[in-house]
Amino acid sequence: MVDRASAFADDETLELLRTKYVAFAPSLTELLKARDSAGDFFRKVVNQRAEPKHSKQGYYICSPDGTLIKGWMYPRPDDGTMKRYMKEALANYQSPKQVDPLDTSRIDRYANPVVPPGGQVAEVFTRLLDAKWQPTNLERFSMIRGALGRDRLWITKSEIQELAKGAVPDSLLERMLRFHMVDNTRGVPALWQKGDIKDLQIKITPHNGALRVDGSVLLEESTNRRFEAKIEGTLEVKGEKISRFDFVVQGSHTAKKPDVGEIPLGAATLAVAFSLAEAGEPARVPPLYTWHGDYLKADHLRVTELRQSKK
Amino acid sequence: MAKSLMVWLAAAGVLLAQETTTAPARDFASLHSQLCKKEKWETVAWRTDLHESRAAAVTEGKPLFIWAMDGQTLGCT
Repeated sequence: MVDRASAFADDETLELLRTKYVAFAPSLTELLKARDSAGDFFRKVVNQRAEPKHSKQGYYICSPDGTLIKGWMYPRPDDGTMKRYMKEALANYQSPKQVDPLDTSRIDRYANPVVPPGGQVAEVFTRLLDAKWQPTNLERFSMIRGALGRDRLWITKSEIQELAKGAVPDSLLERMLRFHMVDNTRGVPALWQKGDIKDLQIKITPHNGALRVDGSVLLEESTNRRFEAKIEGTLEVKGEKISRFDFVVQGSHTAKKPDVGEIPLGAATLAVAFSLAEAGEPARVPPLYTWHGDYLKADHLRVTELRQSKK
Repeated sequence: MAKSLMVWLAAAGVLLAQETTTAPARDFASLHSQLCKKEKWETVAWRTDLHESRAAAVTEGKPLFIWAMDGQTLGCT
């Protein structure tokens, strides 16, 4: 988050990236573990960086043959170091005459998850509104307090088929609640457990060929977080595809201890919005929690229990 | 006495309001458009596939710039 607010908010840095570099942004954790040639190449590059020893997060400038030119993680927030390194790397760069091909016959799908066949992707945007904060001298804290959290939501083919019939499937609702109604504005948050879904009210109304969704939710842990929010949405399916998936969930969010960094004082307003992802790279970024066994779970759902109890 | 009681009640009311009140819900359409905005870092054509990135670097004669974070660098990180 600090990178987005500092180094990648600088116009000249962005112009260098757009015109002089090929910009690649993988998930570090997954690619480091990948059992394929992409993982081998990536490990070869990052292992050439000596510092810091505790993490491989950060930035690397390399030749496509895997030779590291620059590698760094600090300072955070950036103080101009990135732009300087980018210019220094370009000044001496010579494209290699020969680059050996990598074996692309095997792709480690655990490290490179893709949306299930026939599925679609929505973008998820999160922001804390009306939060009160402790005074701080840490620039990286103050810089990201108003940050926009981002994630992706996968919607499966069978869920799209249910939406086309005018129903909002329990599996989709449970995924949205457990994995996406989180404050991810300052780092990676914990997901909600199934039992944390304490209450859910959902009303679906056909409206001009679309579905209007209104409702409310209460998510609550026994000792830490609580989110009580209003749900509003409009979605539309044309043929076999979703053409509109607009949701806003907003309400009172409290936490007693932070997952990362810091938490606001008392209750804040957390807003989560969903919108269909554009085709191309935005839709290729996987949701954070695809590795979790419950992410695509379609049975034994808490949402089913709650909806049936209200019939 | 009555005056100090009123001051105390007013203060208590303010404290209670600070602890329990959050802002009223915003309008759906305006909040949706306010939140669903691309940011400056997204003006770069970030790639997510290493093989495609490497091939582009060879074809275009450019170095690779890798931004690698825990979580999903272009998503939740």
